[in-house]
Amino acid sequence: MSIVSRMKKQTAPSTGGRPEADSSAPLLEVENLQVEFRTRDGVAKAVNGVTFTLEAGRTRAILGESGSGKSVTAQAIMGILDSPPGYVTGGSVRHRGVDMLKLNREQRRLMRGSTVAMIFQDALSALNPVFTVGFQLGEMFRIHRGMSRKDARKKAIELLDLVRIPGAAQRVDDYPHQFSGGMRQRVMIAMALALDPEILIADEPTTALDVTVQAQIMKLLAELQAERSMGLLLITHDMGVVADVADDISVMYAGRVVEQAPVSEIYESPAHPYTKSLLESIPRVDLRGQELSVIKGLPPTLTAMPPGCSFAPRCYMAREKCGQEAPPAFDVAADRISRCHYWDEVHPA
Amino acid sequence: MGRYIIRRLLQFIPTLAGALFLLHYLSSLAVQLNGNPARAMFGDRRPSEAMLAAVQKLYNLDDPCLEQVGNPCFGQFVNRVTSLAQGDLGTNFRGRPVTEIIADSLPLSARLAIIALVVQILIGITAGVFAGLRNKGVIDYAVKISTVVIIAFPVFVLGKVIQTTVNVPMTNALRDAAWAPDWLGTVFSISYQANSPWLSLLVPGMVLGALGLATTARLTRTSLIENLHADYVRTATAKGMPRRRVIGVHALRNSLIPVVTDLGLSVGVLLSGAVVTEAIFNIPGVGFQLINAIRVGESPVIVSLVTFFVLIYLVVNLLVDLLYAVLDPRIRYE
Repeated sequence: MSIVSRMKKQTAPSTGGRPEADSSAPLLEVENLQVEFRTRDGVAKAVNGVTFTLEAGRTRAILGESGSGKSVTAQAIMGILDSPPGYVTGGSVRHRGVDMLKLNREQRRLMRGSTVAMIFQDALSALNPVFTVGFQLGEMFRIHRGMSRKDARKKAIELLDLVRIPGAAQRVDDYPHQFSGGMRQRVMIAMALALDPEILIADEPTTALDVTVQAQIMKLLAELQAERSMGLLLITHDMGVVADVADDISVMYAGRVVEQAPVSEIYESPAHPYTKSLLESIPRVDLRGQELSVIKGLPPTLTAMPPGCSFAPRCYMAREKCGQEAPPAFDVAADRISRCHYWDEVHPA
Repeated sequence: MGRYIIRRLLQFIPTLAGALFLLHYLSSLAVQLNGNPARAMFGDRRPSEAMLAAVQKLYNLDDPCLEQVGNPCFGQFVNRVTSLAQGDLGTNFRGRPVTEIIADSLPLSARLAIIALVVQILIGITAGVFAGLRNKGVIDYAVKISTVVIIAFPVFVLGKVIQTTVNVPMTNALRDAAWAPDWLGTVFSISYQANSPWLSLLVPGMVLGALGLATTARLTRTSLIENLHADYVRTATAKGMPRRRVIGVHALRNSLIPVVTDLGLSVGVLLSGAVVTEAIFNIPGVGFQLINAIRVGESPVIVSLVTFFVLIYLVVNLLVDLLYAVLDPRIRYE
């Protein structure tokens, strides 16, 4: 390969004419993000006005039950929404001041993997069953960096080493099904970290794993994040995982962020009845033998949202106003918001 | 792996034995029902008893079991299997060894099959991919409708229709056209031409390939649509892979696994289709020889040729099963 063509290959996947990034702007700013799914049964507002900021080296957890819109938020940020039926209909997702939603398809693609990377829940189905992990890892370097197969393989082994897979040099030629669940998730992490991304989105990274392995994976993630000072967006429904690793929390319910706060504050004094109910539903050893508190009912169907507060039908403190008027985002403190008309009653200041 | 292959090869024996017996029984039954073909060789003339007996003896048609309808003629079966096992496939009524007939006609049929398979794979997979990517779009409907039409047509109808609506008018039009190169005339010739063994097989090969093509296209389409929503395809997109690569490498590779299985099975369709296609387009391939043998009642030729078809089918499907393990590493043969 001549020097010219090698240089071409290295410079080709650069900014590609996208607007200059502003290094003083926050790492990731999501503002008023709107995503809807257009289905036969009607339009479902899966994400409705999500706003948050993620700084380098910090971890933000997005907490919510199935269907709350947390994964859709992640996919919209990543730009991998299944479209149709999913469409981003409003808001902005800014990386260092550049709105990623306004970039063209190719510019957006180049950011995936190199600037923003993602880890999925079930590594068995998220990895391609017919290619070796070495191929799937090496692909990142071959396609994004124009490396040769041989160099890419070397890089793949380094990555497997990085995520502490024993015998990386041999295992690089194995297929995903030959790994255990935890090891497979490590491969996923290695793949996401391949190009040293600034933002890492982990969509329920430990849900498919058993508890001991969960802890190992979370520890590994936390260490790697600290080393590289990445911004980590952790999508989860597990309150336990959140308490250990997150700095900030966004609690989502029916497509909205209902409460947003630093982690320590939210556990001590929740400002939304949903958060409070969630906290009370965590099994505790000291309350053994007592009946576990649960939130009765189901989240509303997104195609038929109730007027007013979407949590009202299940809320223990719902009043007349809640059924009529959707609560705006109230500023509870400097970096805290709550979407509850009566937040000050949940959370006496 | 080696053990698996040996086991599969051993399974060939009962299959082949069953096929042989069935063929033997059917051809005996044909003699029993239609009368002895030895008599037919004399045409309108009436042979003397001695002459007829001599001819019947020459072609093993003198066994009394051939007079009793339904008698499976076990004695003849044993003789036949013994000589086949010794590599003697018998001769036709003119004394030509069946091995020689196969050797002469096989290259033609092989070329026909290759053209058919290439057409089936190239056009079938391409059409399937486009239809799959434009799910419910114009191309998708075009592919879906045209494949239904092709599937609905039996090969002998399709062959005849193409011959009379394409080859005949083209040949007439090209006969006096000074501008037309010679090869164009060859492509649309009505029958096989020995001096251009590939070109004159192009149209018949495409007719033969059209059968499997429709299935290949539909299978590729369904399989691709399903895989486009797979998690690993989303992962490939999230990795920042270009769309070409996401589809062409990640989704397609998985989508082709069922298609390859079907290609193996379609060899059966190809073999039977070749018999018909060769008859329509006058191609002296294996299928053509088989039809001639059936017409005159040359049971050694029929039994040997069809057994040979069965063997090809078995071997191809073994190869496909082995290829399966290459395409899908989760499959291991012990």
